[in-house]
Amino acid sequence: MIQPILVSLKVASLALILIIAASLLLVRLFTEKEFRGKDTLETLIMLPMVLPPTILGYGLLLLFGRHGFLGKPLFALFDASLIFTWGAAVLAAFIVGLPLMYQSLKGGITAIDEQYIQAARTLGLEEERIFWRIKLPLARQGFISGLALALARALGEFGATLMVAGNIPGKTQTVPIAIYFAVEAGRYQEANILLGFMLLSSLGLIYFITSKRRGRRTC
Amino acid sequence: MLEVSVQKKLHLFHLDCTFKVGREVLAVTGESGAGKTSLLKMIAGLMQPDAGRISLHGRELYNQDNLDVRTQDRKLGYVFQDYALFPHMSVEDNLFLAQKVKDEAQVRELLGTFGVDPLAKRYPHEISGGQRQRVAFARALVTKPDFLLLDEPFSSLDPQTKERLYKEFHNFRKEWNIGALLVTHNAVEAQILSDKVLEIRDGRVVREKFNHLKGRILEIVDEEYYKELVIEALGTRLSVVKPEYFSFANYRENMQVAISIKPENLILTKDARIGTCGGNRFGGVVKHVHRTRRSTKVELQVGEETLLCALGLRAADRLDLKKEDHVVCLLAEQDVEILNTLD
Repeated sequence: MIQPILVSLKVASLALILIIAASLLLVRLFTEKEFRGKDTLETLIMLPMVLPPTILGYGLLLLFGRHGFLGKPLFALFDASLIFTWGAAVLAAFIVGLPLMYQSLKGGITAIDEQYIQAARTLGLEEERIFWRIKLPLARQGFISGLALALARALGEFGATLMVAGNIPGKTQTVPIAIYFAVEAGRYQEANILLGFMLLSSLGLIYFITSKRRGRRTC
Repeated sequence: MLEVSVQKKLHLFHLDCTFKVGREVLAVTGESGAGKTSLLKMIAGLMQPDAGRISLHGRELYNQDNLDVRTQDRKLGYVFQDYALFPHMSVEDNLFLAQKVKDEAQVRELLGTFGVDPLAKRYPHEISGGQRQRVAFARALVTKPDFLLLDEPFSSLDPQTKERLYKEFHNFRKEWNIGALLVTHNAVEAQILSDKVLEIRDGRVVREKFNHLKGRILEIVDEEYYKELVIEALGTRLSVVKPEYFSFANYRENMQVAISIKPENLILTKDARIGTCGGNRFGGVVKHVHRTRRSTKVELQVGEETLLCALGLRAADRLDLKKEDHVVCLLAEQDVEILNTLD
């Protein structure tokens, strides 16, 4: 019973690290640079927010399957496929969590009063330093909210994960998948315990966001 | 010397300004939306002009041939209207951030200059508006800028704090000997704090006023029907006669005062024999003659000060002034305006 929880935590935390790194990179790219195809690329990042998880999972299956556009060269290089591994669960969690983190962080950064950025420039700060020392701390609320939302989404991911990672106990069976199969098999006690875990973790995350918002400092 | 000649199409008008300013304070006044802040932002590199040229101490910062030095490399100090202190950093961290190598002694010294060193560990939201303004000035000087750009730095302060900070501004300017461009919509503030005032309306310079001077009261004559102040300014003694209802109660001898002489009130002559029937009279040297279609502006060197004189076209033709000409300036006693005390 503990195994789905451990798998979920492993998958979600790894996905979260990837989500943070990708969001920081993408937000910098989209808020500081102008380039062709910017809108198209941004639409693609946001797409998982509106697509049903099963369609997303099927898309990933087509893309990363042995004969897929990305799966084929990966198989040729490493003689292994991502599909039905815990890596695929991480990928699914990453894809669904990224737009939430990206959107929230970008919203936080674009809401910063432009005067702070201009003041930093007049003080001789390079754009790199402005991002880390001014923009990111001032967009703290957006960052924290995004983090919590992405983590919640990664922990709760079901449809896409089931399609690309399957239901392998101890390997790819996350809590939502375990609940589904426990209920299907009539193992209600197991389902209830896992439900409790999901409820507690979700409540914890919401409490975390609310308390951080209340502690916000303004000037 | 900051030399600016910029053109920019804004929402409501076309901004077109040309001026230069050395180690003095140039105040840019005008109503809201006249283009004052846009002008400041163009100088700082925060907004790009459509055409023109900006240079500082001979170093080009912008020209229309594709030169546009980054804000970070312009070496300009900028004090924002709302100070723009970083709210997530303490007062001292706001200053440390601007240093390439952390120099605690410099930060302490700067905070000390502005009397805010006891607030070093506080956050901007924990200090008053006047204290925030002092921190903003200290922060703008951390990078040892070549010139200061001040965007209405006194506008959000109460009158008492404002008056105290005017004096501090005077003192700090004296100590640092740095040129500044002060944007303000307050004409009195412009007169008190600056050496020269540039009034802009709809993006164009409509008036250029010099002649804001500092002086010291030598003598106060306050009799029933006659009131006179004798002020030491322009390297000479200036008599200031005030109407009988004017109170001298706020003045005392040796007090520093700010005075203003309107360019159109100065009379120039090359004939040393002409007097003023008891008015003020002093010599000056022509530095620059600027002729426009309607009038002629003459920049004069009087002692260590620069005075601006506005002449009518006929008077200008009659005098035929050229650079380095020696002239006599005549000024009526009632045309010297006392703006403020500086002590």
